[in-house]
Amino acid sequence: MHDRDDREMGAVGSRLVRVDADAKVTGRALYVDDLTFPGMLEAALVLPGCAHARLLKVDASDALAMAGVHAVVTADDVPGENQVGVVDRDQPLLPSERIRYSGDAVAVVVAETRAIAREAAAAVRAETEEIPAVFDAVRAMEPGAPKVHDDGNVFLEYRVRKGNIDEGFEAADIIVERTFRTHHQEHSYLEPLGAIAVPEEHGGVTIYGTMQCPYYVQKAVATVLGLPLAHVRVIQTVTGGGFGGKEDSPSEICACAAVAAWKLRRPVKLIYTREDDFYRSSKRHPMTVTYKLGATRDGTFTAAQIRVVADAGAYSTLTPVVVFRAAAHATGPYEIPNVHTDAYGVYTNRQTTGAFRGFGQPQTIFANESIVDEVAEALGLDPIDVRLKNGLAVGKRTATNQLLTESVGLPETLRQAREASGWDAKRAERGADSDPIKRGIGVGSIYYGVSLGAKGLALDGSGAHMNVYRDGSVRIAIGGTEMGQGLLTVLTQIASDALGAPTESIHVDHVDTSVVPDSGPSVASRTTLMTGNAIIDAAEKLRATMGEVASELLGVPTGEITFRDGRVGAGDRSIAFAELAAECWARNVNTAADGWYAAPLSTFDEDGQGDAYAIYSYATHVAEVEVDTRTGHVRLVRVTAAHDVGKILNPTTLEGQVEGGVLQCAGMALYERMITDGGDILTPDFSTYILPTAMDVPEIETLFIEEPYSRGPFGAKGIGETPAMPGAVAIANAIYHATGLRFLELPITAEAVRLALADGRGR
Amino acid sequence: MKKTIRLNVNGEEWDVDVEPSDTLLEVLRGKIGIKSPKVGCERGDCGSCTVLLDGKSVRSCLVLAIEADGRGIITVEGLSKDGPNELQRAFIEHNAFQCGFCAPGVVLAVSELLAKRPHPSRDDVKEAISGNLCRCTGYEPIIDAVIDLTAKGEE
Repeated sequence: MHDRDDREMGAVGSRLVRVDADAKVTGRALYVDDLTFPGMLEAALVLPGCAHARLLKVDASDALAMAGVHAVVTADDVPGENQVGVVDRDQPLLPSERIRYSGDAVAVVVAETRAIAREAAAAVRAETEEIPAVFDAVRAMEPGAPKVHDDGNVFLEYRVRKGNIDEGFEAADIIVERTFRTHHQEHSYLEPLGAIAVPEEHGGVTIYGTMQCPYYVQKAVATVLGLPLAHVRVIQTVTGGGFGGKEDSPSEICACAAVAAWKLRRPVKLIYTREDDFYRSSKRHPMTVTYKLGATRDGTFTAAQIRVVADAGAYSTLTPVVVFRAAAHATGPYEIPNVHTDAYGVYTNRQTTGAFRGFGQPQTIFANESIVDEVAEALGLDPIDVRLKNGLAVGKRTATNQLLTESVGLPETLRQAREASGWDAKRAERGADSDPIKRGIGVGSIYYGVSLGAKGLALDGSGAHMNVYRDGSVRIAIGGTEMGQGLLTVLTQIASDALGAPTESIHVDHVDTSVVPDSGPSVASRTTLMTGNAIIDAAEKLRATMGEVASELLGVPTGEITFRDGRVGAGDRSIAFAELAAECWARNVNTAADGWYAAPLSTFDEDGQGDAYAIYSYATHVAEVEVDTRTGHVRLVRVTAAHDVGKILNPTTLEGQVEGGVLQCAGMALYERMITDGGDILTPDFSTYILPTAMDVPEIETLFIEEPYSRGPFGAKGIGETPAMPGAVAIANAIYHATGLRFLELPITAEAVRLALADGRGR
Repeated sequence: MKKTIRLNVNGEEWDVDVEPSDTLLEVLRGKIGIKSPKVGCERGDCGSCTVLLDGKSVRSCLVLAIEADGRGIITVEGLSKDGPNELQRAFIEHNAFQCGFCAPGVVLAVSELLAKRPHPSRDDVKEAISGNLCRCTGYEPIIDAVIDLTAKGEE
């Protein structure tokens, strides 16, 4: 479905069909569990399941006596450093002395088949001695709470100080303060975590796996095996969803497989059961957010005081960067002159928490966007008017005092969402009191710093390698990962326009760390921006060298040569791109090039002031609900999702990102509740952890605003996460509009609604 | 304890030795080499392992291979021997999958529906795929793909 008519410049902006579509819909796409290698063994993990315990002994004698079992690998078998912490070095791959949460694995059992490995894993006995545990981050901050790590539970603190909040609250006519709570959310990618480690003849190892961040995996495997990075090659297999859940967790599973393969000198495959995945993969951080907002009578915000406590679980994993993002963005997308934010990362004996679309922001957004609605109501103002009044725009300053100079589409997202949703009429509607179904409409707005910002500078460069063959076909190696979002397709479009070569001639590969330099993680909505710019850089180099040949051939000055739609030249003097490639080959001209893009410098000082991120994406969602007051069931009827994306690269994949995000918001708001009891997860599967199904789909309208970013590829900014951010609180605000029930905790299950109504709350 | 069973998989006869405890999913993937039914949860919750057994969609992780003895099995490989069929092409046009892990199961669940009801309503489609989880798309493009395809047939 090439939509060529409304194309401005070629492939970019067209509805190019996914380049991986055929393979995926016919079953030919091979995920890690679909691969096999000669002599390959299968592995399973031993999880004692303790929340906090001393590990006295791992007795593998029964398991080793079973037919088909090759090895039981423990900490003693780790040849390098037994460490997989991605930011802090606090996380052993296989603990040898102390278990800190129920997802800690103490051994990897390797056997002929998966069934034998699992059976043998159940036969490994871990002798443990329980020690006191702590399961709540706020309690873990109190003196005397059990210590998860010896240095104490509060391992991280960020602050933002802008203006003077005493003066700000003094100037306010109204102050609203509330404490909000959110809980674990499971990524629930359909493909569980999996890895294959293959020892190579030269002494190194090759890792195949489902992942977002191959360079993290490379580092982790090199660390545990004690190998140079050059001896660890990581190949990303077709990846069945990530959403942040395959940012750091793959390092652990790949390192487990690698240690086992290294010991046995045979390929080892390790695929998590869904229950293993629930226990061991990172989750969205549970957060307790206390929010105090002051405003004058006309709705102008004067001060915000915010306290964020994030439950990191047993190891810090990505918490330092998640809490940075939460702290930097905690006010929401508003200019507030006086801000005082404290954000803490706290250890508990619970599941580790890390990246999940939005990366710490959806939790604080639930707080700030609920409070904004409360302030609006108290002042008798419309929630969208209040957002427009205080919302970020060019020339305004963020909480970190960053002056916004370009590409701020927030006001337009609010205006377009208001118009398209029919906000004003629906907001004014009041159903009959006798109707048990109450209808409501609510809004949520967000901003999101694209890429890693001030706490990820060393990781914030990305590469690409572009190879033009003599027939004009092009193969591109990249450092960013396709996990389902459509990256390979969008990069094909960018490469096509950057090189003037037809999309059909371009093939972009999944990541192989032996080809492209460390390009950082595929997270933070950065991959299209970073890898796209790297591809443009490579294409510019190729246009320069190939352009010289074209200039000679055509007798046209190099400055006049253009590369467009498969032709190279100027005016009526041109040759086909493929012909030029053949000519370059015949003249021994190099037609391969490396591209690189590094993000501009960002800053965040100890008072949380600075240009925290180079650029921000913006979004507003309007949600319409029907609440059945007899059952408490909330039906999400319609969502209007307006996003400022800088530039639309592919409308189809863009709509797909937003629609999927809208339903993840619905899950966070209404259904997804991970219930734990001590170290036990009582909902470790999809019949008890409830995901939205096709029966829960609302009508979704997507709106895109193009406020171009001067450094973005063709003006584009990140879109990966913003669709999963404003929706949950928009639903909560709609439920309030429908019922008068202000929920301070997510998810808002039917049970929660019914109980609140039974308590006589609401209207 | 091994037993030899006969399966007709996408029109080809296979005689395979199975253990009584082997699931149809394990046998298809491990012994026959059909990889499109995916291992998503191994307990019938996600629908990624859906296949058609004598035309009826089943979760192959919940069916023992010996129960399928003498029966016919269709996977997406069987729908697309000459490239994607029209339903699969509709999925491609509508971006009805992203990571693709759920796609084989969803395609088969819809195939079963269309065999019974060539012109389904949106609610029919929702119900038919309600046991197939998808975390990427939000389901809407799947429903659109099916309705678009079947409405074309009506014209």
